[in-house]
Amino acid sequence: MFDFLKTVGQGALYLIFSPFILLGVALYSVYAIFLFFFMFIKRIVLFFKGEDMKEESRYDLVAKVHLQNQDIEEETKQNSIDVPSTNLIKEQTTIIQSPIIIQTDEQGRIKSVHNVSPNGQLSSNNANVLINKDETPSIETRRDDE
Amino acid sequence: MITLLIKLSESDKRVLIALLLIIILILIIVGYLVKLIKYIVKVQAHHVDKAMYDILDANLITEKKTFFKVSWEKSRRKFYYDARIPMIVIILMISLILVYQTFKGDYSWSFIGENLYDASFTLHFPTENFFGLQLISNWPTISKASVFHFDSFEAWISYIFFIAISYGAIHFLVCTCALMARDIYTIKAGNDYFHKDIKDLKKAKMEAQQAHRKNPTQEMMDYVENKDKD
Repeated sequence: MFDFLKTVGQGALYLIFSPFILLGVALYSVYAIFLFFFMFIKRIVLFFKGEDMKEESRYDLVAKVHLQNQDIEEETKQNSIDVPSTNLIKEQTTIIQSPIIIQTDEQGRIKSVHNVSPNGQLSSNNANVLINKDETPSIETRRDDE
Repeated sequence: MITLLIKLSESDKRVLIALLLIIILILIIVGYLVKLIKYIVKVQAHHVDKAMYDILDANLITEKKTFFKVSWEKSRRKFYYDARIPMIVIILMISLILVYQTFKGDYSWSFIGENLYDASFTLHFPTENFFGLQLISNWPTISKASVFHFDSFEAWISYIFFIAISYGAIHFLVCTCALMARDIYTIKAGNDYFHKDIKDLKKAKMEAQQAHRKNPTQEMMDYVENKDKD
């Protein structure tokens, strides 16, 4: 209802001002006729200068190149960013130097640890166990009751 | 009170209602016509935005005067290409009539008027007197029917001329309205874009400096907290 009244109100307002609006449009139409012929002559002049009015203006061409260059620069900048080393997935290798035998009691408490030498001999845990920090040793658990 | 002062007959009431309905109908039609014009203006304004966006984005124009110059030139060029067809139609039709008149040896334009008058029809609107005014009181009757002379070459030329010129004039008028809309919007958009506001400048500077956005350092916080304890 409000929209309808608004439309009617606008109609009334523009009806009152319609003579002035029509006068304005009529004057602009006269200007437009002259403008059309002016542009026609201008087009002929530009044609003999080797330019075409239909083509993009110099502003458009420069703007297009300028924006393209900016985009390319931005893209290059983004591609050249080094990926932080923490994000790289490093190849993990496990080197078994000497397997360990851990003996536990019924409660699961460590009783003794033995290293197994490459030739199959057991050695006490009190001896130096050479396990690199980065290397994962294989662990074999044996219980007394087994 | 009013009923005592003004005594309306049944016929007067009918005329009054009809008059009110006609007025409301005219207002509605004009209102929707205004809406249509506003829509055309909006569409044409979008053309200015589209044409000038990249140039402003690339910061090639830094002055309002240059903006107006470039935008108006683009608008004029668009007008020229839009108005070519109606202008060609109008020029062709006028040329056709001139060629015919040359062959005939008579440079009078009256035959067009005569043929079109015969093709037109006239309506007779019955009126009634309402407070001293002659107002339409009923549907019209046809007082003169249309007569088409399809066997006459002159009549054919007249009809084609009328149709083509009407099309050309309406199309050219639409192009003119579009040109006017673009030119007016250019002024508005230019004034908006190159408007210098001290408040906006201050706000932009503050945002650039990130004023009032930095968090206090831990040392500051510790100092404040210790101060409170003391």
